[in-house]
Amino acid sequence: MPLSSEREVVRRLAEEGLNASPDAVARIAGRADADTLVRALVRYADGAVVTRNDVSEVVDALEGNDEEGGDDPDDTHDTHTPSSDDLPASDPPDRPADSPASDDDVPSSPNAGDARTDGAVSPADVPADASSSSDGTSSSNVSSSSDGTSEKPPSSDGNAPNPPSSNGTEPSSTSPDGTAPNPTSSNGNAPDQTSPNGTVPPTSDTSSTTTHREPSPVDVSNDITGESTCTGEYAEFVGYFRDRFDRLSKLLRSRIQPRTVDAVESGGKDVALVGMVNDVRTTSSDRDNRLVEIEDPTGEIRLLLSDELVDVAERLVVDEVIGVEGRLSDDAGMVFVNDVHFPEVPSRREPSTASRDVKAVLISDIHVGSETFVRDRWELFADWLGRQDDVEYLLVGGDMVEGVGVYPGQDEELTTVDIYEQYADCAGMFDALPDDIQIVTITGNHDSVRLAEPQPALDERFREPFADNVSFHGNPSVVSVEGVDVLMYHGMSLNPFAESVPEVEIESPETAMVEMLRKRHLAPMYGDVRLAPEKEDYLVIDEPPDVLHTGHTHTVGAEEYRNVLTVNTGAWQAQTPYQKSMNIQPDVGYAAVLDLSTLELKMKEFVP
Amino acid sequence: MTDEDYFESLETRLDDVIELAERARERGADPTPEVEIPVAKDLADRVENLIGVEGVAERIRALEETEDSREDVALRLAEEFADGGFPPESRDDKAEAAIRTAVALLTEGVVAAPIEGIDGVDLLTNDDGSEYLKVEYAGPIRSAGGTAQALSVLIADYVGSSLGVDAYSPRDDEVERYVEEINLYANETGLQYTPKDKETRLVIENCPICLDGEPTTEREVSGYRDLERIDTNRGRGGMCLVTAEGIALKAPKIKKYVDALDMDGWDWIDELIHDTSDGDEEDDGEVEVKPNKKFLNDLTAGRPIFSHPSREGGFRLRYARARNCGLAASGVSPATMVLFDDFLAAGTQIKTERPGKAQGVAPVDGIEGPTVVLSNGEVRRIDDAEEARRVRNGVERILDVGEIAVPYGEFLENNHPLVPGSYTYDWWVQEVGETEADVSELREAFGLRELGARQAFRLARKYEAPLHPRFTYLWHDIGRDGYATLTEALEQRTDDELVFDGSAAPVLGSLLVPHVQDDEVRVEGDHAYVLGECLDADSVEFADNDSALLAAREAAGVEIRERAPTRIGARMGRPEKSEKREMNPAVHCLFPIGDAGGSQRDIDEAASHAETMRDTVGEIEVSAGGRRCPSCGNETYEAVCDCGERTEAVPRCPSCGIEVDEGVEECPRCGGGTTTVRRFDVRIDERYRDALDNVGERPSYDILKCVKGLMSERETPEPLEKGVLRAKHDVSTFKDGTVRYDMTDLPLTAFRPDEVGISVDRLREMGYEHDADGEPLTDGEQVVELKPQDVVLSRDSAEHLKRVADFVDDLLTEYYGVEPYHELDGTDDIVGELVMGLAPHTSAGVLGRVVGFTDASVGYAHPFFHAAKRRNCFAPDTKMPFIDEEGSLRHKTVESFVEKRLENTDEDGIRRDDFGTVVAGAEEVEVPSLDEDGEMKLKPVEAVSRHPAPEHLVKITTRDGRDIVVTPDHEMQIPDGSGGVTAERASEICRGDELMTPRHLDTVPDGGVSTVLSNGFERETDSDVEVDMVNSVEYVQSDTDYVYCLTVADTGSLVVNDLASKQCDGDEDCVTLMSDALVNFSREYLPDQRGGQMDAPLVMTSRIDPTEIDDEAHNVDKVSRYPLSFYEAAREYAHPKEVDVDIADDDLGTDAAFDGFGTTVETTRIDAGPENSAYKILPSMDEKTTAQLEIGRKTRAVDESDVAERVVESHFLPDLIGNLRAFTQQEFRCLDCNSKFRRPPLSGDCDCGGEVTLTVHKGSVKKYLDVALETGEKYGVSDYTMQRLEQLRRQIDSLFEDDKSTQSGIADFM
Repeated sequence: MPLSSEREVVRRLAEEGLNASPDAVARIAGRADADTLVRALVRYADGAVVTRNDVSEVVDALEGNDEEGGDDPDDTHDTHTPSSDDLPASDPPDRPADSPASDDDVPSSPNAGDARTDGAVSPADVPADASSSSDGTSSSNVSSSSDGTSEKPPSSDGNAPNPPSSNGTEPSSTSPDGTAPNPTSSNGNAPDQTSPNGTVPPTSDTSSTTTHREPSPVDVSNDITGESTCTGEYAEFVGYFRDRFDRLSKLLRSRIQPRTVDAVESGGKDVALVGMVNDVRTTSSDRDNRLVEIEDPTGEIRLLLSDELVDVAERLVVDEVIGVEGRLSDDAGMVFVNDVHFPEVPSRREPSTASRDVKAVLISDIHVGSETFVRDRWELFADWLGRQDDVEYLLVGGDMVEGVGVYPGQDEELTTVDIYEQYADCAGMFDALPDDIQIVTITGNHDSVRLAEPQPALDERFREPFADNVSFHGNPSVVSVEGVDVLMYHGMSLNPFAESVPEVEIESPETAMVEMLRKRHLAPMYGDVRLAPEKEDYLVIDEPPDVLHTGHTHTVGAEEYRNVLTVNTGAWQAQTPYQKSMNIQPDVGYAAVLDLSTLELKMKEFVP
Repeated sequence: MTDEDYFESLETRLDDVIELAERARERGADPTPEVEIPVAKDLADRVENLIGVEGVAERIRALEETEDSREDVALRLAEEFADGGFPPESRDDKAEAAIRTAVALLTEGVVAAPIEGIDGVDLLTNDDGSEYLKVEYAGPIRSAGGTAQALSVLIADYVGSSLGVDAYSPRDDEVERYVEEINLYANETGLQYTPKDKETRLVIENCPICLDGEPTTEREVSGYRDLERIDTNRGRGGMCLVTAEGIALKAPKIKKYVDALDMDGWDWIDELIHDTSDGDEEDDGEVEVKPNKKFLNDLTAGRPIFSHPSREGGFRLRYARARNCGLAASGVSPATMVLFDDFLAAGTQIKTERPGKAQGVAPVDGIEGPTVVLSNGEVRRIDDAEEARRVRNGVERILDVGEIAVPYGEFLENNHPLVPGSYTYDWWVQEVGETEADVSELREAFGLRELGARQAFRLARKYEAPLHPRFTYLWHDIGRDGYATLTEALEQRTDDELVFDGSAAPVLGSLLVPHVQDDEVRVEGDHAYVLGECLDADSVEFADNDSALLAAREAAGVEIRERAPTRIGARMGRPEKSEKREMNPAVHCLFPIGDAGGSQRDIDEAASHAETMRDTVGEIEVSAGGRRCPSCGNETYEAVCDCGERTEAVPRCPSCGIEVDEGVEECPRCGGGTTTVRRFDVRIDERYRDALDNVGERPSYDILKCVKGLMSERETPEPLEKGVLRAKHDVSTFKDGTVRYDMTDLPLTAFRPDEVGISVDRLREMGYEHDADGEPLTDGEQVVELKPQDVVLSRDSAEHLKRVADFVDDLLTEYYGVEPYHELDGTDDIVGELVMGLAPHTSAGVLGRVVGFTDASVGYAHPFFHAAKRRNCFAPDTKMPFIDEEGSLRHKTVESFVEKRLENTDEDGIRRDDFGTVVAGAEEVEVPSLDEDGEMKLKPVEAVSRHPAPEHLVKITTRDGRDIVVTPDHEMQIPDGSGGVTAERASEICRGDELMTPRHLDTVPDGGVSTVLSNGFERETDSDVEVDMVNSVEYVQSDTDYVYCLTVADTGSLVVNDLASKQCDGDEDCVTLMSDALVNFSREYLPDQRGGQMDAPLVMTSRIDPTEIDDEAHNVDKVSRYPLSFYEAAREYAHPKEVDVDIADDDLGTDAAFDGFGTTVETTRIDAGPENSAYKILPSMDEKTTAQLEIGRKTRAVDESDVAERVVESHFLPDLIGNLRAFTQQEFRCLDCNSKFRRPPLSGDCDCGGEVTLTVHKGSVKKYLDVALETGEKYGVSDYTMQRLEQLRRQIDSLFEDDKSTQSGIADFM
């Protein structure tokens, strides 16, 4: 249905986070294919404001396509309302009916109708308390530049000026209002039975002895801890991938109107599809062509990506969900692809920021217990942290300890061979930090939890030595600090990304993290990453976070991508014998200092 | 009968068989009308046969007369090649032939190195325009050994100089490339010696020959890539080996020849010697023999540890050789074998602490057996297997496992310093002889060997001789405190009884004093007297720091020796083997029937096959070599036309269709390759009927199995008639047309007619006239020296050979129309028949004659015979020092080595992997097979011998992504189809087989840190065995890595070990009936790929020349008594070379070379003890593991918690970790159509509508969890290991337990 008015056009553009010049709006509204145009503009526009020029170019491009295609542009696609979610009638149910666990047990089941409201998983018995979180106080001056202070400054290329925006909906900064501080905020008794999910108490609310620090409660969502339902059945694997498909395909359906694979019948027609990638190969004839197989719940189909799309094709990894538009071959056996759509982060979105001047420090991969743990650097860090009055949060991206049995012969490289002692040592180190800093941890592959993702939080038995200001969460988890959503993910998929995508280098982990954002998935490649078949795919990025924080690779990197700040925070472990043998140079002793009010990031290196 | 008579009698018989075989072959339709195994009497012949240059043998013989050493002969020959003394015309061909010949000569003419280790030689141009010589080495050069590798370079230079070629001048980047490449290779594969960078630079900058070769490594160099003159960016294994293990390591040898030959341009070698010798000097420092636990590495589940390193109660080293010891076989008491719950049997391999890495176990009852505590409190020594069986159930503890008889020659062979041996009668009596005493008089008077206690003391006191060993207790094991305990515990002493309180029991046990313990402890008889004398504490004052031994000496007033100063740790290696070798499925005939025969390649099925309704039943299309009859022009695949004329091969260009002359390899029109192979439509039903008619048979057998396709270059099929007769006699063929039987080698230098089931009369007919003492042979109990080419076979193999003989007779009469040869009435008649012995990976068979049978599951033969079968690839000093260390399953280098071999696939191998020997059937073939009967998996290859480098390897890729690269004859474990496990040669595994992949741990990159990649197992539904489906089986090009050939038998299934141990490391060689080999072998059948010619009798040695065999056999003891000086030298840790003990080497070249093998200890029967190791008998891995832990529990010398630790570590943990990982990354499978899915289809179901299911189930992940935790707790593994187990339990729970339902469950209770 064509957009009837300029007003309508403005609304649509705003939904996509775009502004437009009045003449551009007029131009769009005047066209019969306005809807298509808007969608195309969303993909095209690289600035925040759509100009008339943009519109012209897009129109030209569209018409050019049409001429090539030779079909009536006004085909069935455009008859649909883009934002409606009820398009494919054959859309499968979110979960297989035979999913073993009862739905009732899942507090945050994915909603069939919409992108999830908020994945916040809070125990029902937590009293709802007023949270002082910033509710949409959209700071208009978010210039999230990231200039490092160390010799390895994170690359920053996304410094687009942020225009005053008439932002209608802002996706992720809405208040996590259902959550509340943990009842144990009056310190002392460790929360034994309570779910590890939920919130971290502000620690200094009773006695606020020393400083002005008043951390807000940290709201954590998308945490598997205590929610794991998998029991190892086949149906769970199916359900898991269906959930991934459903959620990611929804993101794509705002831009194309896909048919299901089984609805593709006769050849020769233009077609749009959404599917999960099964396989990517080079064709035998031309190495720049890629043969891709995608699948939806109704079947699978092959795609041919010509060399013009080689840049896109090289980015494809298995088990991600993409949308494609193209022309069906005569025998309907293959689609010649014109365009590939990733779920993507909306090109214009406003990051949330804290309403006050407060900072968080992001680190990962401490590896306590390893003989290569750099205690001297850590102590410098601890000293420094003790002097920072405005740092109220410490986010730890997994691998707190070196662990046991992680690789063969590991015991010979451990200073502490007892896993309990490793954690106790770590707890002692945390204790030496200012006790009014909230420490938020997730697990990694060295921690004593299952290796399959999503990983739950650290088991209770290891938490005992830790003080109350430390909270434990699963990998991944979305941590909302002062309204800033930080998606914490340890990063086990980073290596597979580097192996799959030519552009991604493990020395620059942010290159992989950008791919995660584009694909809206933290670890798509099944088989390369270990998977626990949970009901939901916790690795889907439902809402773009403000910050994506990973570790695992022991390399530092940061980049801003469409106003999402990605940062990998290196390690506190010097080069291991294994890394040496592989000639891997780790970045050791870094902390990322994140100004929550500006989303400004500084990497700080601690060198004795 | 003289040795000469003996050899002639064998050769005469051989000539008879050859003559008959020749007559037969003329009349049949074999690929060639003559016998194809050339008989080589000597090395010269073998070299000529291998190299194929006529006249070489003659020159070698002539040069051997004039030159001092074989190396000199090689150099002279090279010179003659260069001078044009031999056929090759072009200069590079001359150089190539010269180098190959020299290498062949230096490697005894039995290895593949000269053929497949040298790819080629080129003359190229330096940047300054001068010419240089480039030698291309391939991986199999490793089998030549370092010295021959190094000398090959020297020879190349020698030839080059003669041809007027200049030295190679490398560019700078090329030098650095070699440096990088060698480090890469050392890292990925491992080198025996890795040269320092500056050494590599020195070699490359100065070596006049350019060393090159084909790429073998997985990884590529990162720095010096894409060099103009180096074709590859990968590591060139052959080049690295020659540079590192050849030139760098063997520089002193090169130096020797450079000096002798006065060669120019090799001055730099001095510098290299200087450089490399730095490290060696450390080794020559003072001798210190410490406990060494390397042999415990890779402990496999189910294989017991018999003694921890150097531990009290472990094997007591006794220098001795029985007639079945030597050549890496050591004697163990049959009583010990029995008391270890039958885990040891004749031929079972044990891994030992010293002197070598592995030893075969030979039953020797002339040494002391174990000392045990029985449930009635009695402590006694048990020397007899029968007694051991009687009391076995009452044994509560094995205090001491008994002696192990290790010949002096083993220390020599292994270059291991001598260590003090047990105090024995032989030693003692020589010490008495040194005194005033007249030994012979005393012997007359008392019978010195069994001296009584009082006499022993009188003798010792009177002559100041040491106390008799019989009464020498292990005082060195109890310490001063133990001595004090004894004196304090002594309650009552009479002349023939001592009574102690209970505290004495452990001390007496350590002393190995027989006693009875209940409330009190009693020692009776002679021992009471002796012990009483030794405990006379009141009479003397002791210093506090005196040892118990000193105390005992003081008290007794006589010299007392250390009874057992050296203990040797040991664990089980792989079990002994005796079984027929079959392809999978067993193949009766190398005749191609394509897919028409179904998965079984059943000819009946093919004969009734029709592709579609329109096709003619019984007409199938097969690929075979095209031939034409010269007289009638008939086109056929048969070697003989219907008209009786022999046909000729017809090569064509497959694309143009043009016929070319034989030998033309390029199509004159298109330049493409030519081949004789084409498609034929064959009426297989008629052909089969004809075959039956031709041999006058009706199918009296169940099935006749053929092959899908042929793998040989010309795809020449066997006459189908042979298959009919093989099927009739239930024998199956190997890839070369012969029938094989494999057995573990054990040496034997003498036997009793009775114990091998041969009558004295028959034996006399065979030339045995005298016994070992020179007395006329009249009695079946006399000990007779074994003649060097006579063999004693396992009874099973004799039965098998009998069937082969019947088959050959049928073939001769019914097919060839000549007279039968064997005409045997029964199995016993096999005695006297000729056989051919062939070691794995060699290409030279050895003529042998059957002289008897044994119940042991081994092949006994003269050390010379065994050694003659082996190629001489490793001199003692090239044995891999790093191997002991790194053969470990956990060793990263080895693991990555295996892991990285995986990609090196030979496409041809894939396409043609259906040929019988290599990859037998089609996808769905269920593998039948051999003996391994464990319930499942997990056999890391524990003994990887460095046999001659295999030229090809088999790469098996499994469905869940595991890969394994092994030698073709390495066995993999597979389900036997009935819930058990069996073993199959890797070469015969094929796609679709379910492989029991031994798990292995690998370190893989995972985010800058290591993580465990453990290849666990998958469980097929409804099967108790854990399997992993084979996705592909490919032949991979020879890699130097693979020169570590994994000849591990039925037990080892996963190749992880880069173990290069002694080549004799539990060899399993095969025997073939000579008549069968001569009549049926053809090179035409051999697979057309690298390595195809391995394991095939390309040449046969008819007469063993002991100087031309593996010199390991030269280190076999010949003495009947070690001299006193030897024992004393051993106490001083002398080097074995420093002592004078007669060994085989001393008599080489003399009339005494073949006989006079004395023994220093007797053994009654060479098949004493269990027939088969319990390891082979116990049905499941659980039972084996339980038995393993139980042996650990009851044996004093074994640390049971260490056993448990190792079992958990090597068996349970990898299984749990691997399966856990596999579960979370698994593939899925359609139950109906068996389609595989990398991830589940989004629809949930297969396209075919079938139900899709997991390939790894919860059950297989959890399978060992409980038993592992239980084992860990019960036997007390380390906290670290326990934490790992608990962590795994939590991981498993986390993955398989629904948090929600668990919680609600608890809530329900609360």
